[in-house]
Amino acid sequence: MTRDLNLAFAGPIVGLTLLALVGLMGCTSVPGAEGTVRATPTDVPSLATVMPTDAPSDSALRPVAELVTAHGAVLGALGTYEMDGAGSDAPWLPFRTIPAVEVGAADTLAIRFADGATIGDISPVVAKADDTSGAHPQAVSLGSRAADGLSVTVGPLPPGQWVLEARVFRADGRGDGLTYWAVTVR
Amino acid sequence: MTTHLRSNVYRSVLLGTLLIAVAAGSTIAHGPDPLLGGQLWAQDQAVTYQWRSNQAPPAWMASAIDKAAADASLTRASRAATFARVASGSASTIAYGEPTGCSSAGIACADRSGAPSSFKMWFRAQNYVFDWGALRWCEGLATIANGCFDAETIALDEFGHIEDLGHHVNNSTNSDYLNAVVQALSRTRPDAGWFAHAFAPCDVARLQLEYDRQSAGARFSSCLAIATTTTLGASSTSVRVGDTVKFTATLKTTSASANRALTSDPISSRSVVLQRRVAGSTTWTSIGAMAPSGTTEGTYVLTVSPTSTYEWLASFVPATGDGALKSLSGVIKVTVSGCSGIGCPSQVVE
Repeated sequence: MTRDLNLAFAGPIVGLTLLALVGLMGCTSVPGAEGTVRATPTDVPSLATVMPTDAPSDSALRPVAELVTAHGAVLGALGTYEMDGAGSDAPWLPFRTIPAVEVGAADTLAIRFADGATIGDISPVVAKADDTSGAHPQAVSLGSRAADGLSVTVGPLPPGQWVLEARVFRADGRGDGLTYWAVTVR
Repeated sequence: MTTHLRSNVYRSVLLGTLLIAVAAGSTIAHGPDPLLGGQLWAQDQAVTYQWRSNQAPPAWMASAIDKAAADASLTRASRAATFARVASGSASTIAYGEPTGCSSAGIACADRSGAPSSFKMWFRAQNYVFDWGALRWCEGLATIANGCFDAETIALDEFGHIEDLGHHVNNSTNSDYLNAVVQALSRTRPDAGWFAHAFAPCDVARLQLEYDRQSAGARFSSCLAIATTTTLGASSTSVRVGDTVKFTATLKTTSASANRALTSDPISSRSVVLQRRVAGSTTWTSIGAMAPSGTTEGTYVLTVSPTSTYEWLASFVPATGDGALKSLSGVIKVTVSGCSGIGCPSQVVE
Protein backbone atom coordinates (compact mmCIF):
# COMPACT_ATOMS: atom_id res chain seq x y z
CA MET A 1 0.00 0.00 0.00
CA THR A 2 1.58 3.23 -1.12
CA ARG A 3 0.39 6.33 0.56
CA ASP A 4 3.03 8.82 -0.49
CA LEU A 5 1.62 11.70 -2.43
CA ASN A 6 4.99 12.73 -3.77
CA LEU A 7 3.83 16.26 -3.45
CA ALA A 8 5.82 18.60 -5.60
CA PHE A 9 7.49 21.67 -4.24
CA ALA A 10 6.69 25.01 -5.70
CA GLY A 11 10.34 25.82 -5.39
CA PRO A 12 12.80 27.14 -2.89
CA ILE A 13 11.76 30.75 -3.35
CA VAL A 14 8.39 30.19 -1.76
CA GLY A 15 9.97 28.33 1.10
CA LEU A 16 12.58 30.99 1.72
CA THR A 17 9.97 33.70 1.62
CA LEU A 18 7.85 31.86 4.11
CA LEU A 19 10.82 31.19 6.35
CA ALA A 20 11.56 34.87 6.40
CA LEU A 21 7.96 35.50 7.35
CA VAL A 22 8.16 32.95 10.11
CA GLY A 23 11.26 34.56 11.44
CA LEU A 24 9.63 37.96 11.48
CA MET A 25 6.60 36.67 13.32
CA GLY A 26 8.63 35.10 16.06
CA CYS A 27 6.72 32.83 18.42
CA THR A 28 3.53 34.80 18.85
CA SER A 29 0.41 33.10 17.62
CA VAL A 30 -1.39 35.24 15.10
CA PRO A 31 -5.08 34.42 14.94
CA GLY A 32 -6.50 34.03 11.50
CA ALA A 33 -8.28 37.35 11.48
CA GLU A 34 -7.12 38.39 8.07
CA GLY A 35 -6.72 36.91 4.66
CA THR A 36 -7.83 33.34 4.17
CA VAL A 37 -6.55 31.89 7.41
CA ARG A 38 -9.22 31.23 9.95
CA ALA A 39 -9.39 29.25 13.11
CA THR A 40 -12.39 28.08 15.05
CA PRO A 41 -11.74 29.43 18.53
CA THR A 42 -13.72 26.77 20.34
CA ASP A 43 -11.64 24.04 18.73
CA VAL A 44 -8.33 25.49 19.76
CA PRO A 45 -6.92 23.83 22.87
CA SER A 46 -5.59 26.04 25.58
CA LEU A 47 -2.00 25.76 26.62
CA ALA A 48 -3.04 26.57 30.16
CA THR A 49 -5.77 23.99 30.53
CA VAL A 50 -6.74 23.61 34.16
CA MET A 51 -5.78 20.15 35.28
CA PRO A 52 -6.76 18.10 38.30
CA THR A 53 -4.40 18.07 41.23
CA ASP A 54 -2.87 14.73 40.32
CA ALA A 55 -2.35 15.56 36.67
CA PRO A 56 0.99 14.78 35.06
CA SER A 57 3.75 17.00 36.27
CA ASP A 58 4.28 20.21 34.35
CA SER A 59 1.03 19.49 32.55
CA ALA A 60 0.65 23.04 31.29
CA LEU A 61 3.64 22.52 29.02
CA ARG A 62 2.44 20.45 26.12
CA PRO A 63 4.03 19.97 22.71
CA VAL A 64 1.31 21.55 20.61
CA ALA A 65 2.23 23.13 17.28
CA GLU A 66 1.15 26.04 15.14
CA LEU A 67 0.67 26.09 11.39
CA VAL A 68 2.07 29.22 9.83
CA THR A 69 0.92 30.54 6.49
CA ALA A 70 1.47 33.83 4.76
CA HIS A 71 -1.56 35.12 6.63
CA GLY A 72 -0.75 34.11 10.15
CA ALA A 73 -0.40 31.24 12.55
CA VAL A 74 -3.09 28.84 13.71
CA LEU A 75 -2.74 26.82 16.87
CA GLY A 76 -3.61 23.22 16.13
CA ALA A 77 -5.53 20.67 18.17
CA LEU A 78 -3.27 18.47 20.25
CA GLY A 79 -3.98 14.76 20.08
CA THR A 80 -1.58 12.21 21.47
CA TYR A 81 1.49 13.59 23.14
CA GLU A 82 4.27 12.66 25.53
CA MET A 83 6.31 15.00 27.62
CA ASP A 84 8.70 14.58 30.54
CA GLY A 85 7.68 11.03 31.30
CA ALA A 86 3.95 11.59 30.97
CA GLY A 87 1.58 11.53 28.08
CA SER A 88 -1.92 11.21 26.75
CA ASP A 89 -3.24 8.87 24.07
CA ALA A 90 -5.85 9.91 21.55
CA PRO A 91 -7.25 8.70 18.27
CA TRP A 92 -7.04 10.52 14.95
CA LEU A 93 -8.88 13.82 15.20
CA PRO A 94 -11.39 14.23 12.39
CA PHE A 95 -11.73 17.22 10.10
CA ARG A 96 -14.83 18.76 11.60
CA THR A 97 -13.41 18.98 15.11
CA ILE A 98 -10.11 20.74 14.58
CA PRO A 99 -8.90 24.27 13.77
CA ALA A 100 -9.50 25.20 10.16
CA VAL A 101 -7.00 26.77 7.79
CA GLU A 102 -7.50 27.82 4.17
CA VAL A 103 -4.52 28.14 1.88
CA GLY A 104 -3.73 28.46 -1.77
CA ALA A 105 -2.59 25.53 -3.86
CA ALA A 106 0.92 26.88 -4.21
CA ASP A 107 1.35 27.84 -0.59
CA THR A 108 4.03 26.27 1.47
CA LEU A 109 3.22 25.90 5.13
CA ALA A 110 5.45 26.06 8.15
CA ILE A 111 5.06 24.25 11.42
CA ARG A 112 6.50 25.35 14.73
CA PHE A 113 5.96 24.68 18.41
CA ALA A 114 3.60 27.10 20.08
CA ASP A 115 6.01 27.56 22.97
CA GLY A 116 8.94 28.34 20.71
CA ALA A 117 10.82 25.12 21.40
CA THR A 118 13.36 23.99 18.85
CA ILE A 119 12.15 21.21 16.58
CA GLY A 120 14.18 18.04 16.68
CA ASP A 121 12.23 16.12 14.10
CA ILE A 122 8.89 16.18 12.38
CA SER A 123 6.68 13.67 10.64
CA PRO A 124 3.67 15.19 8.85
CA VAL A 125 0.91 13.27 7.07
CA VAL A 126 -2.43 14.19 5.56
CA ALA A 127 -5.64 12.28 5.14
CA LYS A 128 -8.72 13.22 3.20
CA ALA A 129 -11.35 15.08 5.18
CA ASP A 130 -13.78 12.19 4.91
CA ASP A 131 -11.24 9.75 6.35
CA THR A 132 -12.46 10.16 9.91
CA SER A 133 -10.06 7.67 11.46
CA GLY A 134 -6.94 8.54 9.53
CA ALA A 135 -6.90 5.06 8.12
CA HIS A 136 -5.24 6.18 4.91
CA PRO A 137 -2.57 8.76 5.71
CA GLN A 138 -0.30 10.04 3.02
CA ALA A 139 3.19 11.38 3.61
CA VAL A 140 3.72 15.07 3.13
CA SER A 141 6.90 16.43 1.66
CA LEU A 142 9.16 18.19 4.07
CA GLY A 143 10.78 21.41 3.04
CA SER A 144 13.49 23.38 4.70
CA ARG A 145 14.25 23.84 8.34
CA ALA A 146 14.72 27.37 9.62
CA ALA A 147 18.27 28.14 10.57
CA ASP A 148 17.27 28.57 14.20
CA GLY A 149 15.47 25.22 14.17
CA LEU A 150 12.19 26.77 15.24
CA SER A 151 10.15 25.85 12.16
CA VAL A 152 10.03 23.45 9.26
CA THR A 153 8.18 23.95 6.00
CA VAL A 154 5.85 21.32 4.61
CA GLY A 155 3.88 20.90 1.43
CA PRO A 156 2.39 22.48 -0.55
CA LEU A 157 -0.71 20.31 -0.37
CA PRO A 158 -2.84 19.45 -3.36
CA PRO A 159 -6.27 21.08 -3.72
CA GLY A 160 -8.96 19.64 -1.52
CA GLN A 161 -9.85 19.25 2.11
CA TRP A 162 -7.33 17.54 4.33
CA VAL A 163 -6.59 16.71 7.90
CA LEU A 164 -2.96 17.63 8.39
CA GLU A 165 -1.35 15.77 11.27
CA ALA A 166 2.18 16.60 12.31
CA ARG A 167 4.11 14.64 14.89
CA VAL A 168 6.68 17.12 16.07
CA PHE A 169 9.55 16.18 18.34
CA ARG A 170 11.30 18.63 20.61
CA ALA A 171 15.02 18.93 19.99
CA ASP A 172 15.74 18.68 23.70
CA GLY A 173 14.24 15.19 23.77
CA ARG A 174 11.59 16.09 26.33
CA GLY A 175 8.72 14.88 24.20
CA ASP A 176 6.61 15.13 21.10
CA GLY A 177 3.02 15.67 20.13
CA LEU A 178 0.59 15.08 17.31
CA THR A 179 -1.10 18.30 16.25
CA TYR A 180 -4.01 18.52 13.81
CA TRP A 181 -5.44 21.10 11.43
CA ALA A 182 -8.32 20.99 8.97
CA VAL A 183 -6.71 22.38 5.84
CA THR A 184 -8.68 23.47 2.83
CA VAL A 185 -6.51 24.00 -0.21
CA ARG A 186 -8.14 26.13 -2.91
CA MET B 1 16.79 25.43 -27.34
CA THR B 2 14.25 27.27 -25.29
CA THR B 3 12.49 24.08 -24.43
CA HIS B 4 15.73 22.45 -23.41
CA LEU B 5 16.72 25.43 -21.34
CA ARG B 6 13.42 25.41 -19.50
CA SER B 7 13.75 21.72 -19.00
CA ASN B 8 17.22 22.12 -17.57
CA VAL B 9 16.12 24.94 -15.32
CA TYR B 10 13.20 22.86 -14.16
CA ARG B 11 15.49 19.94 -13.51
CA SER B 12 17.86 22.15 -11.57
CA VAL B 13 15.08 23.54 -9.43
CA LEU B 14 13.64 20.10 -8.90
CA LEU B 15 17.01 18.66 -7.99
CA GLY B 16 17.67 21.53 -5.63
CA THR B 17 14.31 21.09 -4.04
CA LEU B 18 14.83 17.37 -3.64
CA LEU B 19 18.17 18.00 -2.01
CA ILE B 20 16.56 20.42 0.40
CA ALA B 21 13.92 17.86 1.14
CA VAL B 22 16.53 15.24 1.84
CA ALA B 23 18.60 17.58 3.95
CA ALA B 24 15.68 18.70 6.05
CA GLY B 25 13.79 15.45 5.96
CA SER B 26 12.78 13.36 8.89
CA THR B 27 15.54 11.34 10.45
CA ILE B 28 13.19 9.27 12.55
CA ALA B 29 12.78 5.75 11.34
CA HIS B 30 11.32 2.42 12.19
CA GLY B 31 13.04 0.74 15.10
CA PRO B 32 12.66 0.14 18.82
CA ASP B 33 10.15 2.36 20.58
CA PRO B 34 11.79 5.56 21.79
CA LEU B 35 12.20 6.22 25.48
CA LEU B 36 9.43 8.13 27.19
CA GLY B 37 11.78 9.61 29.76
CA GLY B 38 12.57 9.49 33.44
CA GLN B 39 14.19 6.85 35.59
CA LEU B 40 13.91 3.18 34.86
CA TRP B 41 12.41 0.71 37.26
CA ALA B 42 14.82 -1.83 38.71
CA GLN B 43 15.19 -5.04 36.74
CA ASP B 44 12.23 -7.31 37.43
CA GLN B 45 10.84 -4.81 39.92
CA ALA B 46 7.39 -5.91 41.08
CA VAL B 47 5.31 -2.76 40.87
CA THR B 48 1.89 -2.67 42.48
CA TYR B 49 -1.05 -0.37 41.83
CA GLN B 50 -4.45 0.27 43.31
CA TRP B 51 -7.57 2.04 42.18
CA ARG B 52 -7.60 5.72 42.90
CA SER B 53 -9.95 6.63 45.71
CA ASN B 54 -13.47 7.31 44.40
CA GLN B 55 -12.39 6.46 40.86
CA ALA B 56 -12.42 2.69 40.82
CA PRO B 57 -13.44 1.33 37.43
CA PRO B 58 -16.52 -0.79 36.81
CA ALA B 59 -15.88 -4.53 36.85
CA TRP B 60 -15.47 -4.89 33.08
CA MET B 61 -12.86 -2.13 33.00
CA ALA B 62 -11.10 -3.40 36.11
CA SER B 63 -10.80 -6.79 34.47
CA ALA B 64 -9.39 -5.27 31.28
CA ILE B 65 -6.80 -3.23 33.16
CA ASP B 66 -5.73 -6.16 35.32
CA LYS B 67 -5.45 -8.35 32.24
CA ALA B 68 -3.29 -5.72 30.57
CA ALA B 69 -1.02 -5.65 33.61
CA ALA B 70 -0.64 -9.41 33.26
CA ASP B 71 -0.09 -9.05 29.51
CA ALA B 72 2.73 -6.61 30.14
CA SER B 73 4.33 -8.86 32.71
CA LEU B 74 4.02 -12.03 30.64
CA THR B 75 5.12 -10.64 27.29
CA ARG B 76 7.88 -8.22 28.31
CA ALA B 77 10.54 -10.75 27.16
CA SER B 78 12.98 -8.79 29.23
CA ARG B 79 13.70 -7.89 32.82
CA ALA B 80 11.35 -4.93 32.75
CA ALA B 81 9.05 -4.28 35.69
CA THR B 82 5.98 -6.40 36.36
CA PHE B 83 2.62 -5.07 37.47
CA ALA B 84 -0.03 -6.39 39.82
CA ARG B 85 -2.97 -4.78 41.60
CA VAL B 86 -3.28 -4.71 45.36
CA ALA B 87 -6.22 -3.60 47.45
CA SER B 88 -4.33 -0.90 49.31
CA GLY B 89 -0.94 0.34 50.32
CA SER B 90 0.40 1.02 46.85
CA ALA B 91 1.95 4.31 45.87
CA SER B 92 0.68 3.92 42.30
CA THR B 93 -2.90 4.60 41.29
CA ILE B 94 -5.14 3.99 38.33
CA ALA B 95 -8.28 6.05 37.91
CA TYR B 96 -11.42 5.70 35.84
CA GLY B 97 -13.51 8.73 34.99
CA GLU B 98 -13.07 12.36 35.84
CA PRO B 99 -10.88 13.99 36.82
CA THR B 100 -8.07 12.75 34.62
CA GLY B 101 -4.65 13.99 33.68
CA CYS B 102 -5.41 13.47 30.00
CA SER B 103 -5.46 16.14 27.33
CA SER B 104 -8.84 17.19 25.99
CA ALA B 105 -8.64 14.60 23.21
CA GLY B 106 -7.10 11.86 25.31
CA ILE B 107 -8.91 8.62 26.05
CA ALA B 108 -6.21 7.44 28.47
CA CYS B 109 -2.99 8.78 29.84
CA ALA B 110 -0.12 7.94 32.11
CA ASP B 111 2.55 9.58 34.21
CA ARG B 112 5.73 7.72 35.11
CA SER B 113 7.60 10.71 36.51
CA GLY B 114 7.42 9.04 39.92
CA ALA B 115 9.38 6.00 38.76
CA PRO B 116 10.95 3.96 40.25
CA SER B 117 8.61 4.57 43.18
CA SER B 118 5.19 5.13 41.65
CA PHE B 119 3.10 5.85 38.57
CA LYS B 120 -0.32 7.18 37.70
CA MET B 121 -2.73 6.16 35.00
CA TRP B 122 -6.14 7.45 33.94
CA PHE B 123 -8.93 6.21 31.69
CA ARG B 124 -11.84 8.25 30.42
CA ALA B 125 -15.22 6.84 31.33
CA GLN B 126 -17.53 4.99 28.98
CA ASN B 127 -19.61 7.43 26.91
CA TYR B 128 -17.37 10.41 27.68
CA VAL B 129 -18.14 12.95 24.99
CA PHE B 130 -15.26 14.35 22.96
CA ASP B 131 -15.38 16.80 20.09
CA TRP B 132 -14.92 13.79 17.84
CA GLY B 133 -17.66 11.70 19.43
CA ALA B 134 -18.58 9.59 22.42
CA LEU B 135 -16.04 7.15 23.83
CA ARG B 136 -16.92 3.50 23.54
CA TRP B 137 -14.87 0.87 25.35
CA CYS B 138 -15.53 -2.50 23.71
CA GLU B 139 -15.57 -4.41 26.97
CA GLY B 140 -18.28 -2.13 28.32
CA LEU B 141 -20.70 -2.73 25.47
CA ALA B 142 -23.52 -5.20 25.80
CA THR B 143 -22.92 -6.09 22.18
CA ILE B 144 -19.54 -5.35 20.72
CA ALA B 145 -19.59 -3.03 17.73
CA ASN B 146 -17.18 -1.41 15.37
CA GLY B 147 -15.71 1.90 16.45
CA CYS B 148 -15.00 0.86 20.03
CA PHE B 149 -11.61 0.84 21.74
CA ASP B 150 -10.37 -2.38 23.29
CA ALA B 151 -9.64 -1.34 26.86
CA GLU B 152 -7.11 -4.12 27.42
CA THR B 153 -5.14 -3.00 24.37
CA ILE B 154 -5.17 0.64 25.43
CA ALA B 155 -4.22 -0.31 28.99
CA LEU B 156 -1.31 -2.38 27.67
CA ASP B 157 -0.18 0.70 25.76
CA GLU B 158 -0.34 2.64 29.03
CA PHE B 159 1.63 0.01 30.93
CA GLY B 160 4.18 0.24 28.13
CA HIS B 161 4.47 3.94 28.90
CA ILE B 162 4.93 3.14 32.56
CA GLU B 163 7.82 0.84 31.62
CA ASP B 164 9.36 3.85 29.82
CA LEU B 165 8.20 3.20 26.26
CA GLY B 166 7.46 6.17 24.07
CA HIS B 167 5.20 5.96 21.04
CA HIS B 168 6.62 3.87 18.26
CA VAL B 169 7.74 5.78 15.19
CA ASN B 170 6.16 4.05 12.23
CA ASN B 171 7.34 4.28 8.67
CA SER B 172 5.57 6.68 6.35
CA THR B 173 2.95 4.16 5.28
CA ASN B 174 2.20 2.87 8.79
CA SER B 175 2.75 -0.59 7.37
CA ASP B 176 4.70 -1.47 10.50
CA TYR B 177 1.92 -0.44 12.88
CA LEU B 178 1.62 -3.98 14.24
CA ASN B 179 5.28 -4.00 15.24
CA ALA B 180 4.39 -2.04 18.36
CA VAL B 181 1.48 -1.78 20.75
CA VAL B 182 2.66 1.52 22.13
CA GLN B 183 1.38 3.65 19.29
CA ALA B 184 0.70 7.33 18.94
CA LEU B 185 -2.65 6.68 17.31
CA SER B 186 -5.11 4.46 19.13
CA ARG B 187 -7.17 2.39 16.72
CA THR B 188 -10.73 1.19 17.01
CA ARG B 189 -12.36 -2.06 16.06
CA PRO B 190 -11.94 -3.43 13.41
CA ASP B 191 -8.85 -1.55 12.20
CA ALA B 192 -5.63 -3.56 12.25
CA GLY B 193 -4.01 -3.31 15.64
CA TRP B 194 -7.17 -2.49 17.60
CA PHE B 195 -6.79 -5.76 19.56
CA ALA B 196 -3.31 -6.48 20.94
CA HIS B 197 -2.78 -8.27 24.20
CA ALA B 198 0.97 -8.79 24.01
CA PHE B 199 3.88 -6.45 23.54
CA ALA B 200 5.06 -6.43 19.92
CA PRO B 201 8.67 -6.74 18.70
CA CYS B 202 9.54 -3.05 18.76
CA ASP B 203 8.10 -2.66 22.26
CA VAL B 204 10.15 -5.63 23.43
CA ALA B 205 13.20 -4.26 21.65
CA ARG B 206 13.23 -1.15 23.79
CA LEU B 207 12.49 -3.15 26.93
CA GLN B 208 15.45 -5.41 26.19
CA LEU B 209 17.70 -2.45 25.47
CA GLU B 210 16.83 -0.85 28.79
CA TYR B 211 16.23 -3.82 31.08
CA ASP B 212 18.19 -6.64 29.40
CA ARG B 213 16.95 -10.06 28.35
CA GLN B 214 15.64 -12.58 30.84
CA SER B 215 18.47 -15.06 30.17
CA ALA B 216 21.59 -15.49 28.10
CA GLY B 217 19.72 -17.92 25.88
CA ALA B 218 16.75 -15.68 25.23
CA ARG B 219 16.25 -14.37 21.73
CA PHE B 220 16.73 -10.74 20.87
CA SER B 221 13.68 -8.93 19.60
CA SER B 222 13.38 -9.08 15.83
CA CYS B 223 13.13 -5.28 15.92
CA LEU B 224 16.77 -5.15 16.98
CA ALA B 225 20.00 -5.61 15.07
CA ILE B 226 22.43 -6.30 17.87
CA ALA B 227 26.03 -6.58 16.81
CA THR B 228 27.79 -9.64 18.16
CA THR B 229 31.32 -10.78 18.49
CA THR B 230 32.59 -14.34 18.26
CA THR B 231 36.00 -15.34 19.50
CA LEU B 232 37.77 -18.66 19.11
CA GLY B 233 40.51 -20.27 21.11
CA ALA B 234 42.31 -23.62 20.75
CA SER B 235 43.79 -25.81 23.44
CA SER B 236 46.90 -26.07 21.31
CA THR B 237 48.04 -24.60 18.03
CA SER B 238 50.72 -27.20 17.37
CA VAL B 239 49.86 -30.90 17.63
CA ARG B 240 50.86 -34.27 16.27
CA VAL B 241 48.57 -36.48 14.29
CA GLY B 242 46.24 -38.29 16.62
CA ASP B 243 46.22 -35.52 19.17
CA THR B 244 43.05 -33.68 19.89
CA VAL B 245 42.42 -29.98 19.93
CA LYS B 246 39.62 -28.46 21.94
CA PHE B 247 38.21 -25.38 20.30
CA THR B 248 36.32 -22.97 22.52
CA ALA B 249 34.20 -20.16 21.08
CA THR B 250 32.61 -17.35 22.97
CA LEU B 251 29.64 -15.45 21.65
CA LYS B 252 28.46 -12.18 23.09
CA THR B 253 27.07 -8.83 22.12
CA THR B 254 29.52 -6.08 21.35
CA SER B 255 30.42 -3.48 23.89
CA ALA B 256 28.89 -0.72 21.80
CA SER B 257 27.05 1.85 23.86
CA ALA B 258 24.11 1.55 21.49
CA ASN B 259 23.50 -1.91 22.90
CA ARG B 260 22.70 -0.29 26.26
CA ALA B 261 21.70 -2.97 28.78
CA LEU B 262 22.57 -5.64 26.25
CA THR B 263 26.20 -4.58 26.10
CA SER B 264 28.72 -7.44 26.31
CA ASP B 265 25.97 -9.96 27.10
CA PRO B 266 26.93 -13.60 26.67
CA ILE B 267 24.68 -15.29 24.12
CA SER B 268 23.75 -18.92 24.73
CA SER B 269 21.57 -21.48 22.96
CA ARG B 270 22.68 -20.45 19.50
CA SER B 271 24.16 -22.26 16.54
CA VAL B 272 27.91 -21.75 16.40
CA VAL B 273 29.73 -23.71 13.74
CA LEU B 274 33.42 -24.57 13.60
CA GLN B 275 34.91 -24.18 10.14
CA ARG B 276 38.31 -24.88 8.63
CA ARG B 277 40.26 -24.28 5.46
CA VAL B 278 43.59 -25.19 4.03
CA ALA B 279 46.00 -22.40 4.76
CA GLY B 280 45.85 -19.90 1.96
CA SER B 281 42.56 -21.17 0.60
CA THR B 282 39.43 -19.03 0.47
CA THR B 283 36.97 -21.89 0.85
CA TRP B 284 35.73 -22.71 4.33
CA THR B 285 34.29 -26.09 5.24
CA SER B 286 31.96 -26.60 8.15
CA ILE B 287 33.29 -29.25 10.52
CA GLY B 288 30.55 -29.34 13.08
CA ALA B 289 28.23 -27.50 15.40
CA MET B 290 29.91 -26.41 18.59
CA ALA B 291 28.11 -27.54 21.72
CA PRO B 292 27.20 -25.26 24.62
CA SER B 293 29.83 -25.61 27.32
CA GLY B 294 27.21 -26.28 29.97
CA THR B 295 29.07 -24.26 32.54
CA THR B 296 29.71 -20.85 31.06
CA GLU B 297 27.03 -18.81 29.28
CA GLY B 298 27.87 -17.88 25.73
CA THR B 299 30.60 -20.51 25.42
CA TYR B 300 30.65 -23.30 22.85
CA VAL B 301 33.14 -26.14 22.47
CA LEU B 302 34.16 -28.77 19.96
CA THR B 303 37.09 -31.14 20.14
CA VAL B 304 38.63 -32.46 16.94
CA SER B 305 41.59 -34.56 15.90
CA PRO B 306 43.06 -32.72 12.93
CA THR B 307 45.06 -34.65 10.37
CA SER B 308 46.66 -31.75 8.65
CA THR B 309 47.45 -28.15 9.18
CA TYR B 310 44.38 -26.01 8.85
CA GLU B 311 43.08 -22.57 9.65
CA TRP B 312 39.98 -22.50 11.86
CA LEU B 313 37.22 -20.10 12.74
CA ALA B 314 33.87 -20.09 14.50
CA SER B 315 30.79 -18.80 12.72
CA PHE B 316 27.61 -17.55 14.32
CA VAL B 317 24.60 -17.14 12.07
CA PRO B 318 21.41 -16.09 13.89
CA ALA B 319 18.18 -17.96 13.37
CA THR B 320 15.34 -16.24 11.58
CA GLY B 321 13.62 -13.84 13.95
CA ASP B 322 16.60 -13.45 16.24
CA GLY B 323 17.61 -9.80 16.36
CA ALA B 324 21.32 -10.51 16.62
CA LEU B 325 23.76 -10.02 13.77
CA LYS B 326 26.06 -12.63 12.27
CA SER B 327 29.68 -12.67 13.39
CA LEU B 328 32.82 -14.63 12.63
CA SER B 329 35.76 -15.19 14.89
CA GLY B 330 39.33 -14.48 14.00
CA VAL B 331 41.31 -17.23 12.31
CA ILE B 332 43.46 -19.66 14.26
CA LYS B 333 46.07 -21.80 12.55
CA VAL B 334 46.69 -25.23 14.08
CA THR B 335 49.83 -26.88 12.78
CA VAL B 336 49.78 -30.67 12.59
CA SER B 337 52.94 -32.71 12.28
CA GLY B 338 53.70 -36.42 12.02
CA CYS B 339 51.17 -37.51 9.47
CA SER B 340 49.19 -35.81 6.77
CA GLY B 341 47.07 -36.70 3.81
CA ILE B 342 45.20 -39.88 2.94
CA GLY B 343 45.33 -42.56 5.58
CA CYS B 344 45.69 -40.30 8.52
CA PRO B 345 42.86 -40.31 11.06
CA SER B 346 40.34 -37.54 10.69
CA GLN B 347 37.34 -37.32 12.93
CA VAL B 348 35.48 -35.18 15.32
CA VAL B 349 36.18 -36.60 18.77
CA GLU B 350 33.23 -35.02 20.56
